[in-house]
Amino acid sequence: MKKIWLLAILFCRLSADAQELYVFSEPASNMPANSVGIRQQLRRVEAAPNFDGGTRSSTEIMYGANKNWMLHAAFTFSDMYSAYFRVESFRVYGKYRFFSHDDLYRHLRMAAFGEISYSRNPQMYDEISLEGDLSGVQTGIIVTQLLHKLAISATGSYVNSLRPIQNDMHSRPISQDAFSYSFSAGYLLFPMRYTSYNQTNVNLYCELLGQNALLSKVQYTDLAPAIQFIFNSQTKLNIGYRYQLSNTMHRMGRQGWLLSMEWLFLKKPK
Amino acid sequence: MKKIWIIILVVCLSYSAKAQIMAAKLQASGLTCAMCSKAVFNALSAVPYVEKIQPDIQGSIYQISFKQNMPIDPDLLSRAVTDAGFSVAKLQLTGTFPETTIGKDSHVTLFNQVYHFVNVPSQVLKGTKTITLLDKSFVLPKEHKKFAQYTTMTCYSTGTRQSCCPQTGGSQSSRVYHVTL
Repeated sequence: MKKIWLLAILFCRLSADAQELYVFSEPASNMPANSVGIRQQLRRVEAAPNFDGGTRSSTEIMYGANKNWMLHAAFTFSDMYSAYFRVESFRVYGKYRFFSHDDLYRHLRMAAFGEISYSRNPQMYDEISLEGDLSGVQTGIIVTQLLHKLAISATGSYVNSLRPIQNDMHSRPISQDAFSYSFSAGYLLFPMRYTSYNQTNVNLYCELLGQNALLSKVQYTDLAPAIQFIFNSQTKLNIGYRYQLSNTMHRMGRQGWLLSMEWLFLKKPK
Repeated sequence: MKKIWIIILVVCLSYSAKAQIMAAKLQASGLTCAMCSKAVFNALSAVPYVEKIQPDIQGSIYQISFKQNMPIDPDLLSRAVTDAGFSVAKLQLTGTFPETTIGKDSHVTLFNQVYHFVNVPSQVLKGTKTITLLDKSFVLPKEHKKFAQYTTMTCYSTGTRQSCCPQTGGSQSSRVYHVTL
């Protein structure tokens, strides 16, 4: 269960296109140049066998360096590995948009990303997540297609926890690395017609998130629906739920909630 | 007699000083939502010679009015849109033109920039007119390709002065903007 949340945290990011602003994953688009974003996330992993449930807070700052580069830095604290809330991890993330083709109301974008994380938590599960649970590195490719009100994305990445290969209590090897993937779709539901920047936008999302451990061959697949509200074309409220569809991994939990607020600060007009 | 010539000269200079680009209509591509539109709006608002912008969010169109007596460099508008993460699908400039003779492949220095007129019949431009930019950074790729058939000059694909370009007085810039009516 904890790993569901960890992976949910891993994939949650911002973008500049509303229906690409996936709740559990990152699009290929970048933030506008010289813009800054702040995201405050709260995730709750529901109780599961051998786990009483836990909550994680993630505070992330995002910077659009130019039209192709963006950088994130985040720290988390949670009670998922301890009896009390404590600071547990810090990570940095960078994304480079290397392909962009624009047309009226549509675009195709591709980006590469990399991430480094440090976490003080002990390694307990098969799942590898760098958004609070484990230290490690990750790199991957994102492809996003915008088609008017619909945005679809696919992400593939390699993640390595840098932990020594060891066996669990059942003498089963715990993988050091894994292949992670996501398929995301977002739809701009409201408004039906734009008349003002102050209208509230409502986007619906549905994402498929999974991971295959490379050594032990265990895997999981989760489904993550979400709803998003955008206020004044600048502030986002995300509510998501992630639950397990299939699993052969030892995970913290099987399902849980996500709640987050995001603020985007654009370059001020004169 | 000398005073009459001075008066005529001042009147002529005054008349030509009123020739300027007053407004633009820009359509952006690659976006649908208001958040993206606002990012483009903010970026365009930061261009020094922009006075005011009226956005049409649904159509991704921005009606822009310019400050008076400031040099207009269209590349700054395009750069603002790309820095916001998107592209320009169409840019039209509306201005008051001094009496200017144009024709196929005319290169004319206007408003401190060199403009190469593509696919226009021979005529005299005067008064308020609207021109549409054709360079790669101002149109969709298919539109740029469509107008390529109307000129054989290599400056059309580079956007800079090439050996094909005639000399134009008044501007030493290597940038050549390709436009049509």
